[in-house]
Amino acid sequence: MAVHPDDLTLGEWDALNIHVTGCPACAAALADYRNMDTLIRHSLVPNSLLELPQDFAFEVEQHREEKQPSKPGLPGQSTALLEEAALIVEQAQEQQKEHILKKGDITRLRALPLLPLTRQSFSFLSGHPSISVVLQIPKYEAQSLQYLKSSIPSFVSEVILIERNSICDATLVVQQSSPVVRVIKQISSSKSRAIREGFDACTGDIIVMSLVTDGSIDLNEIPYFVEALLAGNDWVKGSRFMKGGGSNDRHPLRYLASFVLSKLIKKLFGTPFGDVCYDYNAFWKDCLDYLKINSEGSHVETLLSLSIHKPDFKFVEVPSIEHPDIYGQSRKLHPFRMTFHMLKTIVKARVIRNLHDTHPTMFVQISPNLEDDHRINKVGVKVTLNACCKSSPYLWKSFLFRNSATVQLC
Amino acid sequence: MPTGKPDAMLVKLAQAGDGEAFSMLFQQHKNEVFGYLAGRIGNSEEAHDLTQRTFLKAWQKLPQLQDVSKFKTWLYSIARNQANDWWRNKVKTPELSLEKLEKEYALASGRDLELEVAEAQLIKLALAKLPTKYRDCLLWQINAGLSLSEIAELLEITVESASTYAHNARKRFIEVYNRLKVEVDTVTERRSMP
Repeated sequence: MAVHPDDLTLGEWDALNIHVTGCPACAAALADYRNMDTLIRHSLVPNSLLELPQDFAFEVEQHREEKQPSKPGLPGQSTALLEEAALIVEQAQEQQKEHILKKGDITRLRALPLLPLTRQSFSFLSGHPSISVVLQIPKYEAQSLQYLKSSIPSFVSEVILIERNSICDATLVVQQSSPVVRVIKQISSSKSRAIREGFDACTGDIIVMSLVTDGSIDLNEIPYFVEALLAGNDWVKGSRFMKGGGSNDRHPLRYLASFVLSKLIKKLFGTPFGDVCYDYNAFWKDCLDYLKINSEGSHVETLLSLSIHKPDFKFVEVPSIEHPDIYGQSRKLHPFRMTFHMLKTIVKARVIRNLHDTHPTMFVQISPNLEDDHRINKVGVKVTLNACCKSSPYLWKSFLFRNSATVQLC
Repeated sequence: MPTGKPDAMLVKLAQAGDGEAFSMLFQQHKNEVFGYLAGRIGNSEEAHDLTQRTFLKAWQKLPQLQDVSKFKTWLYSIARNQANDWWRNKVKTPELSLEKLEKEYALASGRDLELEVAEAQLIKLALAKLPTKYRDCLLWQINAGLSLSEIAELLEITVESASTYAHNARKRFIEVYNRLKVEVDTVTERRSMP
């Protein structure tokens, strides 16, 4: 409960800061306390100007008459002393500010000058941006919901659960929990549509996304993501390969495969991320305007971070620790199958991007009802090819897979 | 901030009868003392009055202060006594009540300023529900910026006990605040339904 700089020695402060940096739970608790401090301070300010009472002047006069001055002193000495005292007071206040900053106030939630006006609409009640967490309930892991109930941090404003072919009834399980939890049932087979709906349902300033609910991501790491966003970044990604990150996955081969794939993706796409295969992202809600969520397949979350198109987008990674899945059957694929699937996704994305760059007119406008996935997935894509690509229909068909059509509007 | 050094010079001058020096001390500490008293008694108007009385008392008793470096803690002991006297003498018609707060939240209806006022009332109500020592500890630590050793001195307990008090006070405050917030939100929602 140390707040005042004199509450602990320098060594104790350093030890505390080191511990808090490495312990998300303590950092979150400290952030809660500091937010409450700010709230209390702002609520207890005087509404009107506070002045000394009128009796005070009378008392001063009386005091002067009763008490003899101890030393006559030189004329003007009292004024000079007062000025010096005022200067010392000012210097002390500046030192106090510096002192607190040096001690390392972990809740550096004061980066408002770095943020554009559209992102300054924080709820004054909490003093930090509201946070929406988007999670997906996988097919076989009903028990993951129980884990979720106990692991949602208190500073999260809402949780959006995307229920995708789940055999459990998420609604029943989450009704008793808080903060606000909303469940979005994925009706069609379109994963991207479900994710889009999940994002649209978010009301928070910041969206934290992870499409795994097997206990492998730690929601208490969210403050680090938020801190990075408040520092002026647009997109923050968790990385297992940074200092401070890691993986306790039971399949080290999968970790190795992720490492290799991340390097490959970085080479092919020039992405700023070192760990593309780790699904733990946080971004400002207005980034959704620049996100293309029209990919299908099992690695749509990986492609999300590749599909951001905005100049001067600021990305950053923060270390994160992947935990082993806690409940139920893991949805993680065998490392080799995972590698194969990822490679297929990456190559397809790369080919499409190349084609888009070289033959932009190949990507034509589809006839109405683009959202009708049934038509695309079952019937195949009915497009009107323009003259430019009529000569290479085979190339067009070769990367349009029946069940995962990727089409872009031009 | 190490207490006493910048204040010490002003306190010495004020002890010598310099009204201007005391005015500077007043300007420096008035908001903190007000915040403490407002949180302590839950009434801003009365806290305004009590703040003035605290400083007037401090001016009157200033010659009795032996150690000028302990001016801040001494000032807060006067403020605490003022608050205690207020509670003893005042007819307890509470300014704060959950019903009044619910009305304020219902009236607020999205307007930030009114919501801010209602929020301040919620804070005061939550503070009012804490035991006196917890409330004192919390307000001294947050508003007044006193260290744990200074709080311990004021409460006449050990520093370890002061730290425990501070921890329990925060924990209890957050619990009470969240509970009140839920209650107010529930009632406000119910009232807004047709």
